Amino acid sequence: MIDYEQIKEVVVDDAKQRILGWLSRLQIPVTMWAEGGVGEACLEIGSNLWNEVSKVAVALKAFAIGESSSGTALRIYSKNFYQHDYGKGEYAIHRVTLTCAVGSGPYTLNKGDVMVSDGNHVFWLDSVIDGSFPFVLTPGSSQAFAVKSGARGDENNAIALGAITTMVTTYVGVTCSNTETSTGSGTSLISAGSGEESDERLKLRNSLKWATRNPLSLVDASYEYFALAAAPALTRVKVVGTGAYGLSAVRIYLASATNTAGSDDVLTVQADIQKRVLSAIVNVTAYAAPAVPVPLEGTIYYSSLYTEAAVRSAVALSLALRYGSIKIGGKPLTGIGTNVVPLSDIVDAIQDTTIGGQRCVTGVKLTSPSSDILLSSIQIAVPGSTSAVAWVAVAS
Amino acid sequence: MTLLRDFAWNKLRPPWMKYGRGARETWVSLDLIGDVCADLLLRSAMTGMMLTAYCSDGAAALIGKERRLPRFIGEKLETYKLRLWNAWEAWEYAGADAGILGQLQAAGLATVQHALKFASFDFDTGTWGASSARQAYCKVVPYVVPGQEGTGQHEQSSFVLVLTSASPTSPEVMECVCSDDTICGEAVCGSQISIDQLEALNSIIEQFKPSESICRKVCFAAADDGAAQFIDTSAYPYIVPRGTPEF
Repeated sequence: MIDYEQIKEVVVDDAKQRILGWLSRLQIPVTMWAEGGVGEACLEIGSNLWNEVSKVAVALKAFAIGESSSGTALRIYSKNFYQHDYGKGEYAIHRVTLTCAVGSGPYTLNKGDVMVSDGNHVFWLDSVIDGSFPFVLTPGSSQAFAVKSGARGDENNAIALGAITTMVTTYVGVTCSNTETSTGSGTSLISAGSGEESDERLKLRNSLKWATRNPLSLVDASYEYFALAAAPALTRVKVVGTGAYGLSAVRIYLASATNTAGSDDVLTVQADIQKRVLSAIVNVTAYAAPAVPVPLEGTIYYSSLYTEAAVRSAVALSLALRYGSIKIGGKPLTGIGTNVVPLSDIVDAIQDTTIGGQRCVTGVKLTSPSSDILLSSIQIAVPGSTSAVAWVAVAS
Repeated sequence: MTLLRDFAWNKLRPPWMKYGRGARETWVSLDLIGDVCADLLLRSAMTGMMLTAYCSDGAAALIGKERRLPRFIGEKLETYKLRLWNAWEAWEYAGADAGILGQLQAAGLATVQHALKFASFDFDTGTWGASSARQAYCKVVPYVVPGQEGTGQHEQSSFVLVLTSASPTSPEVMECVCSDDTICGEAVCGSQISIDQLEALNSIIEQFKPSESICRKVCFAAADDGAAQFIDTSAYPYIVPRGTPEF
């Protein structure tokens, strides 16, 4: 039986050599006949055919097992076996204020009537904050609205305060701004957007669905499945039983790919899971995983082809993604019962920082942290301050 | 395939392939290629599809990851494939006694003849039902810790796991389980349980226990000679059930 790993594309030259090898072992003088037109043509056709067939085999391999598939193959596989599809992602929702000048209007506004922009992203009028459509914007008045990004994706999240000032849809005398922060976020972002679900997350959901087979008893993976299904932005879930006296209790800690869970996601998960358990028997509570900022001290050398500001933000993103790839509770150190974010991971993340696909960091000397970051079983690491870092440009 | 080959040989073969220079060699090469292609497709279909009965090591590992049933160290491929084959049932009983014990059996921690019969624990008397205790060699049992003073509450979401490597000879074996006085220290079922198995044990508990519960203790009872021996897992960090919350 051929092993799974052996199913791989056979390139034309390899196929040709192997065919010639077989013919040779059959005592067929390959050099003589292969020089002829027809024989050589058959060899060429045969090796190309083999190459094509091996591609089909590789494709079959990808379609057959979810863990090795991606893209369309994974989509079909997931739908077929698990009734799952890629999460489509979410629209980002921001808070903006529309102001109507004295002497203009009134204007009657409905959902989708107004498009605003920060110059790079567009947003549509979605709802009235503390009000409802149709909304009459009267002369000399202001009103807060929620606007929804024109497309799904996380690129619509990081909009600077005060940046949304362009009225793409013109109403004479009406201006817009997003200078007011949304509650708890520190920015105008009300609800974060996200892109289409990653292959890894879809595979994880497929895998976790096995744990939902027993409706009478939920295991950790069951809760993890329900949490990921309820909140698309989440990628990490940790479930702990508290062994509490009296009422049984389960705590669910949540985090996204780059940070701890937002309050909306925590509430969403809480509401979803609450529907699945008998609260008189099991008390389930969802929490944002406690975040441990990891401040950096030391020197980071970067290519002078890039600005310090660009490198700073790229390093922060690289660290956030690396921390986000580590499970809640960190990586276990075998034998001593301690979970950590290894220092080597931090250094690697900095060194692997790229801008436009090109590495921009040329060297790292950290004085802090100087060892692995210890985490409790429910904590996550997030990037901390880099104000104590010396950023040194190095001529390329 | 044979019919097609005969048909091609008799009907499709052009004159140059019958009589020309290198005709035989050309036919043989094409024939070989055909066989190789057919074989490749067949094998890829056999090994690649989710047919756990036919899959190889590499495919089994991937299927196991997807079904959340990692292969135990030293587990034979045939045994593992059978476990993957029964994944549907395994997960149907996750969070229940049968789910935990079924995986323990697969890990070699409870042999097949250790039937899945469970003793009932009498909360009033603090003892096991004698009749069932004689039959129960491998158990997931509730574990009651003293109540919080003044609250009248007991922790009822914890359990102990009792494993025996041989038939207990008396109900007393089971009666000892909840007593801290029974910790003997070193011997683990006559040294029949390996470190790998203990790791597997920990993993099974973590994965298949009900979320709200905590496995307070794993007890190994060796009763070949009629004397029960127990081990308190807290003495062994690698088998202390994980999941104890840190707040």
